[in-house]
Amino acid sequence: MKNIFLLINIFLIFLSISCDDNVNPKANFKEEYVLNCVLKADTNYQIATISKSYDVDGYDPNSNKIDPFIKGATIKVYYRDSIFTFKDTSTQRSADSKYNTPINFYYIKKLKPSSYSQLKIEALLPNGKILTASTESFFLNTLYFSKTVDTYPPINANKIIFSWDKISGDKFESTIYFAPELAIVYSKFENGNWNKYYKKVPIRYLENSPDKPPIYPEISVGKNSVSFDTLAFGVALREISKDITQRKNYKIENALFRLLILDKNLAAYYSLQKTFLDEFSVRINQPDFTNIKGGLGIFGIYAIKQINIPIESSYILKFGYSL
Amino acid sequence: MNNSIIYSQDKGIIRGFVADSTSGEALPYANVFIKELNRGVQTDFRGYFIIAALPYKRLSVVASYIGYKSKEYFIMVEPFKVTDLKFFLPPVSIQMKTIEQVAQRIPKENATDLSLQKIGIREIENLPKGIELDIFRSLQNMPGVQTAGDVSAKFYVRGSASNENLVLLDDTPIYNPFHALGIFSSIDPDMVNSMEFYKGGFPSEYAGRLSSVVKVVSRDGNKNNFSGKASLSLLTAKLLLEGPIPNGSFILSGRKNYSDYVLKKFRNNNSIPADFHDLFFKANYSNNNFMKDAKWSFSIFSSKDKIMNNNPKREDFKWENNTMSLSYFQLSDTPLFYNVEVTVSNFIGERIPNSSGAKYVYNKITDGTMRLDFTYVYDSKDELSGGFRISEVHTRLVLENFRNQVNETLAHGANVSVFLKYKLLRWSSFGLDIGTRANATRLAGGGPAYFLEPRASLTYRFIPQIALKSSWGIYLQDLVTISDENEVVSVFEPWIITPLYLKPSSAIHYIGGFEITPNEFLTFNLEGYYKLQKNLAIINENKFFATDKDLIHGDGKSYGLEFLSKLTTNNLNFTTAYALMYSFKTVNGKTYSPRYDSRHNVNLTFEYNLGLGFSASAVLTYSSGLPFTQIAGYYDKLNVDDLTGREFLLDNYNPFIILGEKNLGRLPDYHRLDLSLTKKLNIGKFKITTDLSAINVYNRKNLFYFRRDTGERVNMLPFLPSASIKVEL
Repeated sequence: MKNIFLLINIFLIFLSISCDDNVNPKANFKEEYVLNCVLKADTNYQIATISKSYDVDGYDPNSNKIDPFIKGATIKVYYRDSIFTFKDTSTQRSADSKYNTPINFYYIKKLKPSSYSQLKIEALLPNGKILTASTESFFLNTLYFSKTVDTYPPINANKIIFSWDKISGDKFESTIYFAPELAIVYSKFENGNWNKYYKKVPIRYLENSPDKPPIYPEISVGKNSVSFDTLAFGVALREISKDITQRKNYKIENALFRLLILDKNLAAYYSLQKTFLDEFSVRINQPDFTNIKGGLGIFGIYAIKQINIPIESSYILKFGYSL
Repeated sequence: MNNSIIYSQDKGIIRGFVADSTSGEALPYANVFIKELNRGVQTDFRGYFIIAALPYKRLSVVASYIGYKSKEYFIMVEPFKVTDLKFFLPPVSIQMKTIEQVAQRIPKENATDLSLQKIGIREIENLPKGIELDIFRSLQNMPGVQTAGDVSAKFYVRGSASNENLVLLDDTPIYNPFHALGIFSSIDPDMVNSMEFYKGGFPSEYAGRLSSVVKVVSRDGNKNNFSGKASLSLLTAKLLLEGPIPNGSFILSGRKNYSDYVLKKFRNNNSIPADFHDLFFKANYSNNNFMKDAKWSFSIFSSKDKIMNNNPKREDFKWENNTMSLSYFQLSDTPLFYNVEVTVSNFIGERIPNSSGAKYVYNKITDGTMRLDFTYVYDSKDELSGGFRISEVHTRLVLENFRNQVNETLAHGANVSVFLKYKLLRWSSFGLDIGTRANATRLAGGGPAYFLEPRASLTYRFIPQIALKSSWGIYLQDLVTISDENEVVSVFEPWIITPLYLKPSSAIHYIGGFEITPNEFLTFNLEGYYKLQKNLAIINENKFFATDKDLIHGDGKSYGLEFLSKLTTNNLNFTTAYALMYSFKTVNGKTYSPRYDSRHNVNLTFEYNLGLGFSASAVLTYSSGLPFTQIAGYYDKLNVDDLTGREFLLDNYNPFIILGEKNLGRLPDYHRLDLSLTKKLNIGKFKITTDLSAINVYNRKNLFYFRRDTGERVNMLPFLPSASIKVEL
């Protein structure tokens, strides 16, 4: 009998410790400042923003309604022996923004970093904190394209090749990244309107894998050409609407080759924009990248070059799409 | 030290085999004891034993094994002659409350078995079952073995990653021995004869992993009669057939899941459309007219898993293991035995994204190995073992990254290695196992490389009740998984050959401890370990471009203390296990605790034979909280995915989590009590075993993880009653 009482007591002790434990998923709040300045190499008008980190009750950061973008900072960019000071202003946000206030930002109208130079940014915050970063701009004017096709499909070729010249000043090549992309531009008739979409074309499909996954061009440094398999182009065209009977509701407009030119920092930031998760894998941490000393965010430079390639009408009609 | 060398002029040899009398199945780790000499040995995993250097006289030899009636033979040992002995031990009746007395401990006197756990066929049957008896989950009751939660049968040994555990089935490596999401092991316990589990300090015959070895030996099948078993649990249905063939036996077993009732409980009642099965076949042939004292074995194993959502917006998974083993074992007229094996192991895993946004992964590894091992027993009782091994490994990994870039990595290479070890067993109170493995090549190629892996283990029993044990060794690993430490659950981990730009991972184990046996019912083990790891292959979180390396080097360090006590009486088994563990990794100059670093671990296992075929068991598990990385705030992160917009800097931001220091937070402590009641009865020719289990009896809400985006708690298994039935003919 004594043993039974002992067992019951032990069991009651277990029951008493079976209640929930509190766990604090949050550490002490870390105050951080975020500087974003992505310069476009082919314009004079540049923008920068500064925001600060925040915390929320609970775990939904979208519940934060206090605008974290701050004004009153002094932002300077050092380029080719000149100092460019940004102006402080604000503008209305889009209607679907979670913040009701205008966004504070900084701009300058006379900075066109289209030739090679060291670039440095320095932001002096109202509280005296300083954020800095540096990068390198590139020669943009010497860049031009060549392609092996004027109108798609090519005659007697199973690849289409796009190439671009190497930017002069070879010693800086290792700092310039290229992200080529070929897309089919099409419109879909929806709710009485033709809406524009882009279908990315892979360079090829991996043939010896059971699922034949598409392979897209990589962000690369030092490469000056990319080739696309015409078979992959055809597969991508078919995938726009797998339902053949619906293809009349799609207009194929043209192919678009776009070359994104990026400095190394922006290329790294760009490459981390999407993380991958499957439904069953539970990945806890997302990767992040910053080149801002003393804070978070990105200081980088980019340019976009693009060319349209017309697609022959007979080729489009063969797939059942509209013109 | 007891100087008991027996000189060669008196020598005689006994060798033999201990088996179950009803099935002829080998009984590994049975005790064979010579009364007059107060000397004995344990059978090996095949059930064989050799006792050399015996005096020329009449001796009584006793074989004993838990759950069986002991047998005694009187033999006349003759000089220069090998005397064969075969013990067929009858199992005790299941109706009896009293089972066979615990076997003598003398054979273990100078055994160099630090960090080794041997689990025989009877112990496997008596393991606490939970939802379904699982050999890997049973390992988690041992001190120093940590799990990441109820949702995974993956195990972490002494602060090392799970890919550092070598799992061998009939000496064939199984690369992903898990079903469903890793919830169950794919090796059906009914086909298992015995297991050896080294938590560290493993000897030179094992190669290719840094941390631990699980050697699973399959059953041979019933040599006397045709028989079958059918089992049903809430998860799977199983069928096993076995019986004699001319000069041999066979066993065929298959298992298939049929319900996701239990699986749902692992995912907060969300369905897991898992479909899995495993299949095992083994045949043995032993004919003295064909080859004297030889045994041939052939086995195949296949496990296949699918998670098919039948929804184009959700990803699907497939993975499978297929192995084949052909083994030739030969006894000779001298105290020499050798073994030749050819094994092939193949793993294929695939994640098919459909239109889900998940990324494509395809991994295939094929490992073909040929090995020759021998053991020679000297008159002094010392043993010399050696072996040669050649492995050819092919890996293929197709991985799509987050920029939709698909990369294919193909690698193949051969590893040629030899090992030699000497076991100094001539003194009854002292044992030393010293040896080395030498690798002539590495799998990634790159020219000749020469790696020595010296290892040593010793035992000194300074009084009969207390033995001092220690071991030391260097270990190399040349195959790694692409494991993201941040993933709480990963469906499968792709394997690759360590690329040439990285050195193979290496580890040094320092282990020491005491074994205390105050009486024949009670054993205490106290072990301390210190493990240093170098050149661990870690995913490069700063890989931004295709030209960046996928893997970088990291270092690891773990140390701890383990305590294990076992009380074994006629009707009661009570095991207490406690481990104090510390584990650290250093990557890019930053040191942190890996996700499986639990400070304190307690396991209490209680089994009681109630008589009349009833037995009950209880397992209480406690583990202090695992590390996780806390949230330190949020910021609005600029989205640059589409740079074509003119003013994307103005309103193109998404909230992003600012993380605190890596793994500095701790989840709440984990604890759980499982109970089970088993009834065995005979109805005519049928033996029926029913099992009722209750998992997490007091419904402890053990936290698995919380979702950072919603704060939702995802708990591990709730209170879950379970039942199974097994019918044997």
